[in-house]
Amino acid sequence: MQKIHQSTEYVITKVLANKGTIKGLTFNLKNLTENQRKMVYKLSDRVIFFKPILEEIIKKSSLLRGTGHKYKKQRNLLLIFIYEFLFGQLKKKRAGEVISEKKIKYVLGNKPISKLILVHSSQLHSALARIKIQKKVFRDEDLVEQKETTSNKEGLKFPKYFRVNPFKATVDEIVQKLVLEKWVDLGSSASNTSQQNTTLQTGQNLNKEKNEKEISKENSTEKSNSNQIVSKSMICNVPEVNTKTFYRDPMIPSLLVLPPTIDLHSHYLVKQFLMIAQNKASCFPPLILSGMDGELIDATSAPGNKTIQLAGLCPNQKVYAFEKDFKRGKLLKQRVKQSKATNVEIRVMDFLASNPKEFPKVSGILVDPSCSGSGVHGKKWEFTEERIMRLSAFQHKILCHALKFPNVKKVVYSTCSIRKEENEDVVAKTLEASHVKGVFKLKRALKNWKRRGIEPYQKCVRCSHDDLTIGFFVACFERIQQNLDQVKKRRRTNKKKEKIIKNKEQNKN
Amino acid sequence: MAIRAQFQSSSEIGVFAKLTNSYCLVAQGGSENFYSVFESELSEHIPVVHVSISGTKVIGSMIAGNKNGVLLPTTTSDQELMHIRNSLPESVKVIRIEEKLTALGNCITCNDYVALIHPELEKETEEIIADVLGVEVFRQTISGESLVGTYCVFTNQGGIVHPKCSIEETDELSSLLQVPLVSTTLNKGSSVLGSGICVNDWSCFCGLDTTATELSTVENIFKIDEGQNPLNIVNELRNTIVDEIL
Repeated sequence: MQKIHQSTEYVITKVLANKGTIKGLTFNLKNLTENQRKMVYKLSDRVIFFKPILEEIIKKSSLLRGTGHKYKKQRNLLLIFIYEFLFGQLKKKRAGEVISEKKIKYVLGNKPISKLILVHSSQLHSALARIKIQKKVFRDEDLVEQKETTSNKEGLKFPKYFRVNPFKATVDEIVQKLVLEKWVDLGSSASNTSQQNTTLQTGQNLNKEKNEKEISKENSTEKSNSNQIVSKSMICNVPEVNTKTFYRDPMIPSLLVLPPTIDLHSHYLVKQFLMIAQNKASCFPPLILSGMDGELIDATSAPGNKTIQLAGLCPNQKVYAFEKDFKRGKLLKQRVKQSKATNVEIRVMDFLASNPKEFPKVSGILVDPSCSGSGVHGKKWEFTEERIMRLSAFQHKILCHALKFPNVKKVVYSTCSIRKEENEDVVAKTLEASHVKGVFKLKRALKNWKRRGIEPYQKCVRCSHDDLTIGFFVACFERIQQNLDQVKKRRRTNKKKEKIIKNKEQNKN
Repeated sequence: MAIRAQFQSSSEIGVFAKLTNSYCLVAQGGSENFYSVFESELSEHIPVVHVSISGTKVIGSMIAGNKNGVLLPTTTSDQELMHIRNSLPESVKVIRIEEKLTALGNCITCNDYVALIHPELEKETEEIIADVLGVEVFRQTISGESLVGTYCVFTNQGGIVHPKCSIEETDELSSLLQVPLVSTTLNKGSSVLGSGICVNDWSCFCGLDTTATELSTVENIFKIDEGQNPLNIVNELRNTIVDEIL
């Protein structure tokens, strides 16, 4: 347990100093086993969740007064121990329950700080009880202010998206497998636009589902009708929480929409890469880029969701996947191999260091550079302005580099940020660059999608939480064909003129 | 039914006796009449024992305890400690604590799950109380008075507090203790509750001066002899009648 507490202390200290996320930091704890890492993750998550309460308890129980003041420096470890003592493994499940000394020793160890806790045990309990009475709550979870709980409820709004991996299975096969596990296929039903903004209440949800079922029935009978409905609304319904039901996304055929709280990360379909967890919004860029000849490039690949999707959409074209970071490149290699995407060639190198002239056949590039991630629900903290500006500059640089490739026809730029600085501003700045101006133009991508970029960039696509996706931005650059066309046109008109002149001459003759 | 009693023409019976769910301690010396009141009522169920603390009779003010244990002040002699330990069942822990406030009965009040203590008791004492009595411990004052044992008496069923206790304070206390509380007086208007009453979950002794009103309040809140409460009789009658009609 000591090892776990130490690692947890490290994680919490870093997270509280805004130097990483719990997930990222625990993942990097190399000296721990998988199970230990899970424990560290859970413990640090809970301690941070209860932190305001724990601090109040420390204050009320006068733990740090007198001889206790020397533990002030070990505040985070103290928080962990108090959490363990009051809410964690040493929590009394009923009044008067006696917890064996062996267990206490196992959990708290034999440090002076654990003795401090034991000496103050009744004060800690009484402080907790008083706080509970003050806040008029009964359960431990209700102690923490509503801010956190609302974000949990917000989380319930968003469905989980899974994309079927075309290299391994078709959508129908996956659906069959899910149906075998008693899942209910609710078909490809799109919610009406008016319902998008209504908050999801279970009662309403039921009604909605009924409606949708009816609609889907109609759809199957009248194909022309169904097309209209699909084109009107591109947003799928959310399956009800705690049910084994799923929808098919009306817009992206290989996307399944599962209930918000479902946890499938250890399910065999996910583990064997038959389907891949991928948000709907991040499926857009490959979709926009597909449907062209020639080779393709994914400039920033890892973890490889978009690369694999792109490779699946264009199975006969070569896809170069660039990744700067060695570690992430390794992960990318592993994932591409597991998902059987054979047409992907991985280059673990900085895309900015690549020579455009070495890729004469490349016609499409996907640019999804690192961003603040402000559109991802779950990330709570804000980046500093300086950091945003640096990110923005980097995004501009990489986008410009992508537009230098000699025969590139389409470049799709995307971020999972909702900040204008990282989206429209980058696009504007890039369009003004000397090698871009007059050569590339913005193309209106996903014509039926309603939410567009901030004026005047209405050709860009934006996604927000109201669309039941993460906050996302996509811009599509297309080479202006003017030069070639104009030449051709001139030739044609010249020929026509010659013909006319000839005709006239013949007539005269 | 609550019983009125008197210790040598004094109505402050709480000072001379300590009653819990698993034992009853009564002062040594004085008239045997006082002892027999308790014995006749309780001896079928729990041991009733004569004790003294450092030779005095005011044991109710000196001793704190519940069904799990007894706390004795530092002044208790070894002989007295041994006597108490030998007379009580083995499940009851008997501990003498080093604490400068010796009137533990006045400083500590508890039922089998929660204890309120004087805010100035030592930290070590607090931990011992929690361990020996198996309770959650709260440092508390009652309407500004530190002597919680004197101004608040409660069992697992309910409790009474100082008459000057405000409604808000009573509410807070009652959610802290998880039992209903009411503010009342005993012994014809005395606010010194701890010395006016000896009570456990199923029996109650009050000072002889206690008025009928006070007595009925006490019976109600401590839920003594529920079956004989006129309201309950009416309820039972109504239930049987309703049953017959249906």
